Order: sequence, then structure tokens, then C-alpha cells
Amino acid sequence: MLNRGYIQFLALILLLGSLALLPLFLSQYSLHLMILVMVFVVISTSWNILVWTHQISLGHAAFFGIGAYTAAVVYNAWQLPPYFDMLLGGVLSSVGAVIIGVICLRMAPWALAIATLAFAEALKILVIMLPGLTEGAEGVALPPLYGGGESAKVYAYYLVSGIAFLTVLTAFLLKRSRLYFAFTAVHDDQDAASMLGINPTKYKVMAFTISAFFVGIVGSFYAHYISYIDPHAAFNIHISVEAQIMPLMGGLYTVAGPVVGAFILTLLGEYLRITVKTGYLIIYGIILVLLIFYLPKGLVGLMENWTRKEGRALSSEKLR
Amino acid sequence: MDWAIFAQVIANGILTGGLYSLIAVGLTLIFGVMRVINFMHGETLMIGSYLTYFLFTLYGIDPFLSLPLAIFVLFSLGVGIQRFFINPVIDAPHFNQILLTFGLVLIIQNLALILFTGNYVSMTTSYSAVSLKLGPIRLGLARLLGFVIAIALTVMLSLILKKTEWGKAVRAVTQDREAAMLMGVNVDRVNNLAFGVGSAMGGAAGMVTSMIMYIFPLVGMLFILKAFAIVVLGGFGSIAGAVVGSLILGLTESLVTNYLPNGSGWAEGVSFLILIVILIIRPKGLFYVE
Repeated sequence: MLNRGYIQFLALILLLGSLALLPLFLSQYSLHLMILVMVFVVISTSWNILVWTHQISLGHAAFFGIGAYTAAVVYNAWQLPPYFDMLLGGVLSSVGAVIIGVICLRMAPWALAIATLAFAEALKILVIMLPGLTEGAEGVALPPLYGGGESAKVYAYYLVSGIAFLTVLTAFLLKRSRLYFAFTAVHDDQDAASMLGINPTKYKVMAFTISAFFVGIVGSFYAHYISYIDPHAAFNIHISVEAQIMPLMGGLYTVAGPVVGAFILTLLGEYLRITVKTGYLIIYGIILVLLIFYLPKGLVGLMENWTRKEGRALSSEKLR
Repeated sequence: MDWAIFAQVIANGILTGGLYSLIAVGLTLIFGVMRVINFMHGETLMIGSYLTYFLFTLYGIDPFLSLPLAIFVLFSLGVGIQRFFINPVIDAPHFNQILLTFGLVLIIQNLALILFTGNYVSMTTSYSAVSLKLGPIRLGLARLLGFVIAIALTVMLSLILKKTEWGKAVRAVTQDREAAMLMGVNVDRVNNLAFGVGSAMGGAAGMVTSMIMYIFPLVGMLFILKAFAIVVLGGFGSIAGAVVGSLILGLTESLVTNYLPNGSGWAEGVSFLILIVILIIRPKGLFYVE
């Protein structure tokens, strides 16, 4: 009997194994691209965890920014090891998520969508207006991660791949846990869920907190890796947009989808940015609209349709 | 405290509030009728602004003459977008609609970036520098006329909603979609017109902003966040709430700008603060009636 989850997991291990060997073959520039891919794997996978509860965030840049500024402020104050900043960045992002979540998640999905968008913008203004703490609009410099140079990029690549692996593993394990049923029950029928003793708000906030945690970590990593951060880069709406499109392209609700989406769209985005320059985001908009209309289940959903013939009875029974 | 300055600050706040209401009323109308969070609303403002700007700089057409045209163009665009993009997913989860309008934002914004470049532009009419003196306060003529337009259009919309057949249908659908449907209201048509009228209001707001500030392809984003704050403040779907919410935001911003150190920077954050506070203390808005 084929266990789909098991196959997915094996494929992931294989994929990560080959990714581990990549630095041997890649140029510095390509390695940099792969680091960006990994950053977005974390962001899109995290965003997708929230989607299981049928809530969407339009401001995941807020958590990325919290992480990045935690790194900048804490490192420049105490020079602790960057790993500490990253963990702290994740924790502070989660705290932000709990606050926004408790306020908004009792309400209709639009409340969270709008509040997260506003939250990211509000944090940007706060960072700009408090130059004593954050150096304001000018941004903060950080020493390069692992002392800079060629080998530093390889180390950075392994570090961010590790973070990405942990994120995807968390999503994978969550999806197989009882918690996932609570998450989806909350979105399938909120009233029924609460009658069965599942407190919808609690699980939504939980999903949101987990989601924010990893984005905060990777935000801190990014600040250390680029060794400079400013409010417009840290709270860039572009990050929030990518966070939505990548899972949608790969396949919402799945574990593999956001990863696939992050690979394709980061590389496509970089290619477009170099070749088209002005207004290349229009392609993203077109992709987004086409996906909603023609491929709401994403590429993974498309593949599932192709492979459905074998084991239809099995999957319909098991995946319900 | 200098009362003359205070009066000026209040007057500025009210004028800004008028402009906000023009944007927020359209947004709240669309939400009330269709329950769609329309992120594209800011882009109707952007298109209206550029339309007015190009008619003026290329053909010398006065902004006030291009107002009807802006309204007509954005109405048609709104009807088209509702018909071909929003309507097919009207029964899909909220979620898909939000992402869809977000995708449309990206398309329209970047199309504008390609066509008009990212440069800031502004226009100078013969009355741009004229201001009226009312006792201790000075009011820019363009801003004052913009305010008058905003109020006139909002009053007109309220009258349409109260008196006409379509307006009654709109209010029926806003209150209870299914009941309205059972009573024989053509909900598709109501949706379609509501989206068109809402977008036209956005276009009119664009005409007003083009007279008093810089125009650039991302100008819609600047206003849409404030408009959302207003709509949440006033209660989703409530026209009166949107107007009052706009005045509250305009006044608060004006007060913060003038009376806080570094006020103009902080003023940009007022709308978000209001949004969060309202979501905590009164999530259905100030004017929500069960």
C-alpha cells in the first residue's frame, strides 16, 4: 500500500540531500539565489500554515521585519551570537502574532487580512519614527554573517536551508497531527467545531503564532546575511505579496506546494527583475489572477489530478 | 494656545476628511452589497488622477470638466471588472476574492508604472495658488472645491440609495442578500451597478486628489489603507459611518501633524492606530446597528 505522505517525505529528503551538495557546483551568485529561495520557502510555508484555518495574512512582511529589526537592534546593542538574535526574532514575531491574532481572529477573515496589512505599515512607520532605537529611515548596518567572503555564503546557505527544513518539517508533522484536524475543522464549520469543544480562536491564534515564528527567524537571518536593513526593505509589501502567491501557485493547503511555489517564483522573479526592470510585478498579478480562475489548487493539485487514477479509492478514503 | 492656528488645523482636517469620505464611501458601498474586500479600490483613484492630469496637461481641459468623464470611465471599468473578474468568483471563499482583487492591484499598478513611469507629477491650474480668507483661516480654493465635490457626490449617492428603485434594491441586498433575492431583486445587476458606482466614486476622488497633491502609480496604496481604517471605524457597509469616520481620521491627522513633535511622520500612523483600537473595542464599527 502506498502511503502518499511517506512518499512526499522521502522526496523531500532526497531533494534536501541534493540541495546539500549544491554549493559544490554553484557560483557565488547562484548560491545567493538559492539562499533567497530558502528564505522564501520559509515565508511561503509559514503563510500556508495559517491558511489551514482559512485565514489569510496580507502582511507577513510585518513578521519578517520584526525579525530583521530584532537582529539589528539586539546585535548592535550586545553582540550576542547571531543564532540568538534569530531565535529572539522568531519569539518576538510570535508575540506580535498573538496580539494581532487575539484581536482579529474572532472576527471574519477580512479583519485579519486588513489588520495584518495595517500592522506591517504601522511597524514601518514606528521604525522610521523612532530613530533613537532603530536609526530610522537610514537603516542599520550589521557585520557580515560568518565574517563575509566566499565560504561565508556556503555557511549561510546551510544555515538557511536548515531553517527551511525545520519549517517544512513542522508543517509536515503538523499536517499529520491531531492539531491539523482542529485547524481545518475551524475553517470547515466554525459552529460545529466549537460545539465539539474546539475553541476556534485558540487554534487560529496557534496557527498564526507558529506561522509568525519561522518568518521572524528568517527575517533575522536575512538582516544578518545582507548585513544591512532599512524599514522599506524589512516591511516591504512585496514580501507579503510573495507569501501569498507562492503557496497559491504550488498548491494551497499542501506541504509541498509552498516549497514548489517558492522555487519557481523566486527564480522567475529574479529573472524578470533583471530582464524587465520596470513593472515586472505585473507578471505576478497576471499569474495570481490566472491561478484563482483556472488553477485554484495550484501545481500540486494539478499533479494530483493526473495521478488520481491510481488509488482513487484509497486516497478518497484516507485524505478526507 | 493660539486659537487662530487651532481653527486653521480644524479646517484643514475637515477638508482632508471630505476627500477621504469620497474614497471610503465607494469602498463601503461595494463591501455592503457584495461582501467583497476590494483592494482594487485605491487603483480607481489612481486612474482617475492620471486621467485628469493628462487631460489637463495634453489638452488643457480643466479638472472640473473632466470630472464627469472620470466618473463615466471608472464606472464602466468597475462594471467591466465586476462582470468579468469578481462575479465568476462571487461564491468562492472570501479568501479567493481578496487574493483576486490583490492580483488586479498588481496588474493595474505595474501597468501604470510601465506607462507613466514612477515619477511624481503634479499640475498647476490657474486657481492652484488662490486661497480664500475666512476670518483667521485660509482655505486653498482647489481643496475647498474638492471638498464641495466630495460632499455633493456623497449626498447624491445617499439620495439615490433612498429614493430610487435601484437604491432600495441596494439597501435590501446589503441587509439580507437571500431575502432580497427571494423578493425578486436581481442581485447580479445590483452587484454590477454597485461596483460601478463605487469605482466611479473612487475615480472622482482621483480627480480631487490630482488637484491638491502629487500623483504617482502607487498613490492608490497610500489611500486604500486609510480607506479601510475608515470603513472599519464607521462600520462595514455604512455610508453615514464612512463619512463620520473620514472626518474623524482627517481631524485626528491634522491635529497630530500640528501638535506633536515630528507630527507629519506620526500622522501617517494615525489610521492604523484607529483601526487597531476600533477592532479591539468595537469590532463592528461605530455605527453598526443589528
